Amino acid sequence: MKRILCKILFYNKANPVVVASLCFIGAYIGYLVWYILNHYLPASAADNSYVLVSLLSAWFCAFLGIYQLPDQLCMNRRIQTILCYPVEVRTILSVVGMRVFLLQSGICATFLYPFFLFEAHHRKEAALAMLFCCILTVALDIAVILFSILISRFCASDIVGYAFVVFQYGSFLILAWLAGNTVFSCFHKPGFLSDSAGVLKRYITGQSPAAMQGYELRSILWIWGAALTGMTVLMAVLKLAAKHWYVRGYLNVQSFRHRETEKQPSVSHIKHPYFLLEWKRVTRNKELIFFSNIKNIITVVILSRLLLHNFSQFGLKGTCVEELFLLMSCCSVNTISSTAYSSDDNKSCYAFLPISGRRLFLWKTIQGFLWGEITVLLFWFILIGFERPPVMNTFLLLFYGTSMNYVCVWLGVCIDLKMPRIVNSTNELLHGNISKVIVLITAASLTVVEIILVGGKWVPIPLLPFACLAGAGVAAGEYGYWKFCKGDFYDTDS
Amino acid sequence: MIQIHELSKSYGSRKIFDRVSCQMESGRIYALVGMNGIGKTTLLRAITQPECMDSGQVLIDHIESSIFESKYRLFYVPDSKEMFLNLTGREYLRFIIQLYRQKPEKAEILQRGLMGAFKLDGALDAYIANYSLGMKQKIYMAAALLSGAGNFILDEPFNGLDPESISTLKGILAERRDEGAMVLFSVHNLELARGFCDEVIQIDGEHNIKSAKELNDYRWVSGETKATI
Repeated sequence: MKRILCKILFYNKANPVVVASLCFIGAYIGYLVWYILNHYLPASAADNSYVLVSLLSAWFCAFLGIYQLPDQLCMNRRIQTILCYPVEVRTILSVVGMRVFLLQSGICATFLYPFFLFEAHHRKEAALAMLFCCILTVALDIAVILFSILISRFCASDIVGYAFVVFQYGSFLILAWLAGNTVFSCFHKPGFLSDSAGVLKRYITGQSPAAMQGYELRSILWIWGAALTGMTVLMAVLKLAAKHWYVRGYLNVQSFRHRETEKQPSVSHIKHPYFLLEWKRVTRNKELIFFSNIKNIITVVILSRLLLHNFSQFGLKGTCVEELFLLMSCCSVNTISSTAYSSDDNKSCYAFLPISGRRLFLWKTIQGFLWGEITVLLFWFILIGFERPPVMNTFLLLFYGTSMNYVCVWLGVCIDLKMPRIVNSTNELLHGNISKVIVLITAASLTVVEIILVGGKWVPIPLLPFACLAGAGVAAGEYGYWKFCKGDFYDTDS
Repeated sequence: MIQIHELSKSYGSRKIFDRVSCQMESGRIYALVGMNGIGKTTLLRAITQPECMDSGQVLIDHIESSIFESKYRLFYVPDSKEMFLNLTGREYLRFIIQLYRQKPEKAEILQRGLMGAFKLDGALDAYIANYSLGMKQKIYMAAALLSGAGNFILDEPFNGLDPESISTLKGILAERRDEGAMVLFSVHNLELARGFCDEVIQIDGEHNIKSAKELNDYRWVSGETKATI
């Protein structure tokens, strides 16, 4: 029954080819991480690199749990359809929790299996590190589920959505800060990994107990005892919370989503049918979009700071690298374009209405572009206000931002069209999806290539004009593709 | 007018239609009947969305259904009443009028008449999401009538409607028929079709499409059950 329930809740069909491909990619990524650490970390730190990998896998698992569990438990619309059947709450929790835990176990295994290949004589540490990651992950998952139930039950229906935003995004910022600090410490503080490994060996794995004094042994017992007691208490509280609060909390969250529909809507005067469709798609979720934009701006700032650390080595200071990264990042995290089709509830009706697929694509791009341009202009004003670049650079920056905005929006809409997905909740509009990640990676790669080309003197012009030219070139290519490859947009209007 | 030639459609190994043909003339009302799961909705989809067909040809007013222009000649109201929930009733009707390139002044007068007939005047500025099933049915039917299309494909159009609204809708559709439109609707309750449709199209147990000129001649043969009207 749980398999059927899983299908109902997640609408997914397990494809063995996809699963096998993902396993293969995961295995490769895991091996690559270990290869990089063994070859690029300082020799003293490389010996204890399994600590860094354990921390990274725990970070990824926590990230997955924080984003997936509240989304699937409290915002998944499909749960409402099964609530009228005799399905126990614990069954729902176990189906959702087990799915996420399986994914997390896969992440742990992906990151830690190469330890057996690289460090054949440290198998005990690897096995214990894996166990430690799993225990930590389970404890975090339980805590996240508990928090989600408490938030959904005890926050008023008109603020419960915002409470989830704060919880999920606040946790993400803490995780990002922790991960950033850990990676930075590994590369810049040589003793960090060996110290951490010492703590791990002594207090978690209990290595060499004969050499330990009595109080150290007691400490180990206390740590494991406290961890197990904590888990038991968490489990008991979760059981009670699920039994008494989960369903009411879930319905509370659902009523937040539908709150807007009860208001008398304002009259819109848009006469263009395609623009009306797109405008209504976006503005019906305006609260989510408002928060999404705030979140994007914070993410952009953090991303830019992290990326800039690594590009100072190219000696391009004073050539607008920082500004380029800021503008590129704020263009590539456009949620409106990356959910253009997946958040469109009306898309099933377009097949039998005289709606041109190609024109619809254009208007989805225009809509995303207009909203994205607001962010671009905001950042541009802040940049010229604080940095005061030369007049020429000021206009080139605006041109770069606008062209990259078009490039990213077009790509986001195109990926969302070509990779049809089932959206379980409007939360995806807020937190983005795989399309957004692909756009971000593509735009970042383009900018990095531009920097490398200019930094390596392969291109004889300064970075900013070259970036503008490249951006405009890609934008023209995308427009040309839309103009001449009609069939790719499922267009029948010849 | 709709002409179907050699239509074939399968779901996996299950064959729904195998090279079936039929024709529906302008100025007539057709009731599409058949057992549950026999392929009524599949037939309607094949007419409105040519991509659904495995093979065959559908002509709408002599235009092949794969040509975009043909979409202006028909209006399809599907069984699901979960469309355009994010628009208000007024926005939805305006959207359809503009999409089907109808003259705004003429459409405005017609819209006023339809809203009065369907008693939807007070609800036009509310979101369709907040409508009851019957109100959704009425607004989609009103959109069909405002579109100016000459062929109406309606999947269970009387579902959720009260007797008064059913009578109103029947009257309006009969008027359209007299003006030269073709109406094809699927129905389970045969009483709703009596005295209203001109012809019955039946999908039989072997997935063949058969036609009976008068509903009184129609016999529904389904496995062991025989029902005669």
